[in-house]
Amino acid sequence: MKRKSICILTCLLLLTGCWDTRQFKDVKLVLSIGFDQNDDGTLTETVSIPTVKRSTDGPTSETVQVLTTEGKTPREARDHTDQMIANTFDPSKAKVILMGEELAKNSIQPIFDQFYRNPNNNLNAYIAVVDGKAEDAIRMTPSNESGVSKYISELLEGQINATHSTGENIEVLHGELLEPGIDFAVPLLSIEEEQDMLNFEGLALFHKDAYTGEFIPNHQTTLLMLLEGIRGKLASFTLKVTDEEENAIRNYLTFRVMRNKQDMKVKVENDQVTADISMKLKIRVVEYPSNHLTSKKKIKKLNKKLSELLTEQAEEIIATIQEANSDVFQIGRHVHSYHPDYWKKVKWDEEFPNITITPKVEVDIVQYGVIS
Amino acid sequence: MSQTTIKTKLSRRQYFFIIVQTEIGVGILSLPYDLHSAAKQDGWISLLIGGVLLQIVLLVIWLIAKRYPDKDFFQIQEAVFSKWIGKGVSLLYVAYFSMVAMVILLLFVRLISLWVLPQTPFWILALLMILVCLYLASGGLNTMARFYTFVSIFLVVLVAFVLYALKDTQLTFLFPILNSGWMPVIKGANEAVLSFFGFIISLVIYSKVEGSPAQRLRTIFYAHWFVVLFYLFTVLVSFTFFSPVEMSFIQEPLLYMLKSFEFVIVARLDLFFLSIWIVNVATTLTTYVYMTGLGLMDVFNTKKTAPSYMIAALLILIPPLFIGYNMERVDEFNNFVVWLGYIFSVAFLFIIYFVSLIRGSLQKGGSS
Repeated sequence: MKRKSICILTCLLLLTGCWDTRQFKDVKLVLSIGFDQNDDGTLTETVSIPTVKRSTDGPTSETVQVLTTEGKTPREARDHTDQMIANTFDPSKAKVILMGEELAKNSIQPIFDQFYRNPNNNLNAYIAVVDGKAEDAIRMTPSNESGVSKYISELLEGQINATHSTGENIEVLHGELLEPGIDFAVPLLSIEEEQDMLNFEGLALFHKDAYTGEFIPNHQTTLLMLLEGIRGKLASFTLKVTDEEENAIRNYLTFRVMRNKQDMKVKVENDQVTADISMKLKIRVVEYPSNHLTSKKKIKKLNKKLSELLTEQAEEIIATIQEANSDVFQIGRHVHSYHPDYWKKVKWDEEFPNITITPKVEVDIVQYGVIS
Repeated sequence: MSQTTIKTKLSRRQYFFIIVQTEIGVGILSLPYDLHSAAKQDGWISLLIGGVLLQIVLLVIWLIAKRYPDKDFFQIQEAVFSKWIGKGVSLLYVAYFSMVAMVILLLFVRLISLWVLPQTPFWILALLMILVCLYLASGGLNTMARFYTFVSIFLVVLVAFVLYALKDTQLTFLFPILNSGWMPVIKGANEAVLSFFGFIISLVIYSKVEGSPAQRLRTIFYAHWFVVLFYLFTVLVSFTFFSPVEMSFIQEPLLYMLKSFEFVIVARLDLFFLSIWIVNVATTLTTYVYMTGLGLMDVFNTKKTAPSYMIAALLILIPPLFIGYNMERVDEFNNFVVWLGYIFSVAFLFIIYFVSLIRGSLQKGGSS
């Protein structure tokens, strides 16, 4: 009896509750956060907070509250938000982090420090740059969508699936922010005010931790991803293969990438860096109204044409990234790893725009649907 | 009389897992970071060097233990150094073991507080941990051995988690190899050696394990290389997952890299990982509670197990309460204990061996 009661008392002491409960009813989960920079150097933080109201009868309704606060640091802005809302602010489930263009051009590392430092956050939120102000994007009320956070994160996921963006979350970006010789690109969104929608413009090219102002437009992002060796669930291109047809539609061919193989060779000779990016695509034609794809000769000709077109586009992309000085192919890191003496000798930032990068794309039609 | 008093010897498999579970403990989370801060991306070479160097120490351990086949570690001291000096040495070892246990406790609670329970006071976490260890240790060595063997399945789970991170790794981060020469790598070997300090358990319980000396030596080596490979794996994955610059910021790379993975049921893999890791810490700490308690029993010539372990547990619990979360003091104390570790886990073993050799030859000389 005595033993038992001691046992029970100990259990009572040790097993009841704890200091660190964080109950759902006490926090406001923030799903999307937007940061903007003001002219005086302070930050504006915009958050969207969904609140689910459960009524005893009928369906649950969700209301979304959008708040904008200012502060010298993201954390201070958050404290200001806390002073306005019921309960406390909890960004640990944030899905999307948007940055206004002005802020992104400045430096984004200080914004993200709080996410990396705090063990509560899970680091799988996506980042995007908004052409304009992040506040406006979060204040949108897209019709037919359940909440702006879900809309934006699904929009971004759609781009990943369609091989338009890398799908890197803020965890992966951390290394790329810090490491010299590695740059990155994040989705660039623009606001379409008439339709109250966002539009995926392309990939904003970053150098170190700042947006360069240059971006890869959305019709070239798939090729950039493939050149980096990344393929989502779907990768498709529509290219103009001929000018001869009268009907404009007949000039085009649309195909999907079935398999991609990419290889990059970086050489340093006589203090000159050359990078050869070669890529082989096996494709399936999904739309080609102009002609039958029966003869081997025709297919061969198309293969050649498509290879040329894509190589040309790849050259354009590379010209853009070199102009932006955004080493998204991580050539700098390769040089650092395999040619450390050269790496020590030069300043990569100054070197990268001048190196020679040669892309080579080979296309091979392997399928053309159920009709020939 | 009763069957409980019959002492069975440990099997060699249990011996293997006791060594493994004692060595793998609180340090595994920060090992890649420690190696990286000393030797940059060459830290894994340091680890291998440390592993090879320790072979020699393990051989000495075996040579000592072989000379006294039915004495435990503290009884060996008395046999080697005569009764009273031996007791003094044993007492020093008891102090050392308890201090290692304190460091483990401090680091464990600090990490839990940092990662999951920021509001919980120090004493609660420390008390809960030490109670578990006390309970396990007072079950006796055989119970511990069975438990350790059983929970080793968790090591597979840990490896599986880390394997999942492999998809985001880049081998280029390991290069250039040896770009800054051998010096940092050798410095890093220091960090590597201290993550193996639990190996002394192989000497303490050597006499309680069945099998011929050669078989037991083999088990010690197997266990050692298992741990080396386990560490090597975690270090290599961390080094290729994080870029070198990023590594210099991240103190618990293993946890950090699991943070961003999300599954349907488990949203935060790092917390899952942490709860399994707690078991590994508990096994390590239990071993030290056991060794401290065993030392106390041998020094004070008593057979009362429960009070000895309780005293050992109190000895381990109370000093850390005064240090608490103070990072600077924890680090100071940690460095001090590491330094002690070199004396007691490495240097002193050689002394024991040579003294026992000299005494052995003297006795032989005297009798002939």
